[in-house]
Amino acid sequence: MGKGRRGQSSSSSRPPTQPIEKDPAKLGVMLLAYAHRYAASVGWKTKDRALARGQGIEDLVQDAMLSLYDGDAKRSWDPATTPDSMEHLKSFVNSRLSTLARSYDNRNVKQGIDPDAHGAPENPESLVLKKAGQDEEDAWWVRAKDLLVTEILGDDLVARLHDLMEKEEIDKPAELSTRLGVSVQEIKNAKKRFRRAWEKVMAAMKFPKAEEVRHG
Amino acid sequence: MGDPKEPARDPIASLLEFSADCEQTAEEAEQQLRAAGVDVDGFVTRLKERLAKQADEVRLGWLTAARARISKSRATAIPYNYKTMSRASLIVALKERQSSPAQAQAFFHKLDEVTDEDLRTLLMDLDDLDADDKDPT
Repeated sequence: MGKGRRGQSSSSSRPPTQPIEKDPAKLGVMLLAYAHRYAASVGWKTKDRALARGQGIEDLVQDAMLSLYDGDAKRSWDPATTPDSMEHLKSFVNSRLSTLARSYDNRNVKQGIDPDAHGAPENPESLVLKKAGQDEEDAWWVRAKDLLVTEILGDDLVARLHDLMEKEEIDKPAELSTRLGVSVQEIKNAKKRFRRAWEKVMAAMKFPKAEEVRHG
Repeated sequence: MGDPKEPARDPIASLLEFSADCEQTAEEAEQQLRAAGVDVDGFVTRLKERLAKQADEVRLGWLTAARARISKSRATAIPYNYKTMSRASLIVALKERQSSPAQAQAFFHKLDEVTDEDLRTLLMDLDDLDADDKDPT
């Protein structure tokens, strides 16, 4: 992704191509759908299965919605600088999810340096259980990736997008369209096909109930 | 060689992030969420409840602030002697201020149910009445 994209929506500087939605219920539903999609990328990076499936993000979305109507809130909406409320809402969600990802990274780094500093001391039984849990977790992600790559390989344009993203930091549809020699609309359609592939894979994956946590 | 501090690029994560931002109507968003097993109606109900609660807080915010200011100003306006008096002393002082014993009995028979703060307020009200009586205007 382009540097500096995290924490704010990529389309904040361009005029909206759709009418600005003002109904709070509809805005909330659109934002929840967006948060589900963005949480998938954060969950993938942090290997958090619940987050990857968008679980526990409702509170975050509600907080974002409240920021529209509370001028005293820490991250309140300023229509003068961001006329499209949806852009403010996306930026709010991105920021909160990115903070979540950073805290996850920090936790992992800390544990990597001093694994004995947290929690109860390990015993052989807990080590075996921990290893089994980690193996199961790793296997889940490997299988998810296999299924997703299989889906991607069946779609030439998405596969080419995948290859280009692996090699270069490009996230602008116009630039991608030039590089891949297709229209911007085709890039947008490829985006939607990739999302459908992801949703198909997530629906196919088994998911233990115990992981249905809230991230609020 | 690349920067050793830079983590390896994950094209799937990049594609997921790239595809998060897409044009979508409210109806399409609802379809996406329902397909993912989300209780959209429940979400909308909970959202409306929180928004209504926030609207109430914003609408009545001035009232809460005004009450807090009045309470603070009354607390600071209590004369020092009333502030330091015990409950028993406050009741005695109130009884002494009544001109008619019968009236006093009727008035004070529920004093046990009145808070210390209200006893002080009663004394302050009586002071105000006395001041009005003395004021020829």
